[in-house]
Amino acid sequence: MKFDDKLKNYYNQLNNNHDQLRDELLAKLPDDVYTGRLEFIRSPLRIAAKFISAAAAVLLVAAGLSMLSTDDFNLNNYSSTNEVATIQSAENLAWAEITELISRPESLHCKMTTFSGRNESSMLFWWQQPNDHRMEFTNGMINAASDGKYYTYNPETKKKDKYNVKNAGYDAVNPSQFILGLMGMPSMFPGWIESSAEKFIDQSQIVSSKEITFKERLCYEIVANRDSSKVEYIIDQFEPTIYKATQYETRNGKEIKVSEIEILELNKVYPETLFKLP
Amino acid sequence: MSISDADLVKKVLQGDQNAFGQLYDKYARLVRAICYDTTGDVTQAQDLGQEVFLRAYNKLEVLQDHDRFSPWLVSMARNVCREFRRSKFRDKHVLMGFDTPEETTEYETVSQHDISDEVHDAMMQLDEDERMALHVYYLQGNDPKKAQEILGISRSSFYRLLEKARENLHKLLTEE
Repeated sequence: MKFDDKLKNYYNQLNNNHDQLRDELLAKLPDDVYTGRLEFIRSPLRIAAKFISAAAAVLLVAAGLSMLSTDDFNLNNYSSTNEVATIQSAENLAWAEITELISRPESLHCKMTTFSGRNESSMLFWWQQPNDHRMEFTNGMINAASDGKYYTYNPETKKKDKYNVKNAGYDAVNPSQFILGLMGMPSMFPGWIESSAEKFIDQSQIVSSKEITFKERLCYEIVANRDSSKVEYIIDQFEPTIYKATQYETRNGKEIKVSEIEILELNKVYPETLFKLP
Repeated sequence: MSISDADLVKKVLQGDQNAFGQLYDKYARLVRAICYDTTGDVTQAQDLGQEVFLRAYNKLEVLQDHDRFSPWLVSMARNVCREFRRSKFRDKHVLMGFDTPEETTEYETVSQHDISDEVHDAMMQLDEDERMALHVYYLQGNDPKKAQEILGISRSSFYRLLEKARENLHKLLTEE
């Protein structure tokens, strides 16, 4: 059979019983959902939320990075987030859209960098559902976790260790849990993601936005202020995907780049061996 | 003259369920294609597709830009598929892959089954972007504007991606 005929047959099967399926769906639709109301309340908050919602998770990552030492991404050198997850008010409809738009990827690969003067430290990070992750630091340190086991490699001692992870725990949030919690693991942080993202939305103010092309995708470049931070986001126009977020702070009247995260891959399938150290 | 998605969405929000039926007619096959990528089974893809549309209906009022219905629907389909995959992952009693139905139901045609398996297996070796380009091209017509709307890429990028997808798929289907 010719190539085009094979494809035609493949897609034709998606027509099977279309009319019946449509009629079944329409019969199931609840009658009382839409009663003729056309106009919603549109507020600046909702318009802002539309742009910021997809970036809320990345902003939290950038904020988390800025709390880490820039000299040494040491396993023991972490601090719990001091972000208090206070519930800010938001219109119900706006919040429903936010939670729908935040993408919960199957996997993620990104590069995170923090800057301090002329120094910069970076980490390559991989994460895959449900709980696998790997972190490679510029100093050669590697952390990885998979299937209830946690692995570390110290380049100075050339020593590898393996631990059993009994309980991730909610009390002491280390950077990897912080990041994993952001990437769609509500079982680890029930209610935390939504309330923290909501807080960022409430406290962020859009300064500018413009359409750009980034890696052949139509995107928005959004600049938002929050407290003394400015964050530049590059967000896909059509998918709830963030490609880059760069955080700046104003110190002594100067704007300084503090941290950056760049998403390198989304939803790739990584082998299990990536998340273990043999 | 066909009604735009934005106008159909407005009609739905005014209580016109038949308008939702028209949106279903436009995009159900594309949604089923995305679901079929996940399930590998046409019946399950149909069921999952129905779930996508039911959710879309219930959440339609939060869609601010009515012109963005199609990419919004595609995102929703992807999220539903992810949830489906996670539920399969968590269920330790489910075998890898999916059980094929014991009987041929009225929803499947036996004569197409082998061809579909071959093409599906080849499709799953493509990148997700390439698969989407094929789905959009074959199911939404050769409309670069529609592709741009759904995939969020420029016209030239769409054609490049489509060419690459067809080339790769052709290679996979002739490597026997």
